[in-house]
Amino acid sequence: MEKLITDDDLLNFLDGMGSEDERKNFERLVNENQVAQKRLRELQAVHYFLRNQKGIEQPSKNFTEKVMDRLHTKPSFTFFSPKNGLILLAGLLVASVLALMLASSGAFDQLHTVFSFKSLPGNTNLIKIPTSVPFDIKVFVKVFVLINLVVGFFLLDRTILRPIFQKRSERLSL
Amino acid sequence: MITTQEEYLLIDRIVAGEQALYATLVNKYKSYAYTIAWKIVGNRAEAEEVAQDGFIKAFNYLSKFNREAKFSTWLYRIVFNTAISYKRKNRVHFDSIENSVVEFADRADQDLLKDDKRAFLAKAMEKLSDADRTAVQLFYIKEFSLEETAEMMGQNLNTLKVRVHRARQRLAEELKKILKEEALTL
Repeated sequence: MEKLITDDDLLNFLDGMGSEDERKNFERLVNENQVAQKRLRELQAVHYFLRNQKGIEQPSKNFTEKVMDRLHTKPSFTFFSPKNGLILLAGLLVASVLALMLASSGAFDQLHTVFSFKSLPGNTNLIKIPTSVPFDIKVFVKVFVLINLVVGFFLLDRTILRPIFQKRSERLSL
Repeated sequence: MITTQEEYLLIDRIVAGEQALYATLVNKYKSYAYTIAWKIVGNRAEAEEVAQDGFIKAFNYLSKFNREAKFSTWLYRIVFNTAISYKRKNRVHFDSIENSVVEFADRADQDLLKDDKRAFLAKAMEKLSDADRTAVQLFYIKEFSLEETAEMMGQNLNTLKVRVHRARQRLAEELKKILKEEALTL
């Protein structure tokens, strides 16, 4: 009866594992088993394909100089990739435009209130607090849009413009 | 060629402030570091950037290198992790070796045959999971043992062995399919 030869056995054989005697013994077993012979040929083809891949690649000639120049700088990768940056930027712009459109159409005109602190407990003689604070949602929307624009400019710089110019300058220096 | 002991002395001097000596280590390991990065990100310009960042990170953490592993393995692991996180952030697709066939179209028959084989392999490689593909590619970089590859990838030796075996089995199946299709089109 033929001994069962697994893919793992064949791959270990291809990787050169086992002693010389074990390998000779295994070779004999494979020669007696046609299915194993066929499978060994298939795996061997993959093994040779992979072994003949391009070996060690060489970086640019001034690689070492570039590393030494950048030793005290932070790694160049930003938290956001250009793609994520673009998505966030688009989101910010859409939110800002929507907020501005709603504000200009008068949707927030009736939304204002006054926060009253008269009913608060405590000794008002010791701490002076205003009795009421007016709250206008339009001011809130304007602040929201302003913050969005500032964050948007920051994202545009960090995730899109800076990497583009950095890559361009590196390509030129190669 | 410097020995491990000489390398440790060199690291001590760099940590003590002689930073210019770091260039010796960069020169010694740049090719392998770059190759690892290239195998993972699949693009030369990005691989260069990743490898450089790996060296910079290694420099910043050099004082924490505890010498339990070889410096090279420690460094390659940093480069490997940098490349993986770069790829995750940028979703760089595996650069098919198929592309190189286009680059070198005018070559002798023997070379074309080699390129065909590479193209088949690249096609089959695309079917593998990222982790299996990386494992098998790093394993086949000359001079990296299974143990070193496992340490570099931060994986258990048996897990890596399973990955490499599984990847080759899958490649064999894919190549069989591809070559059968090719035969049908002849």
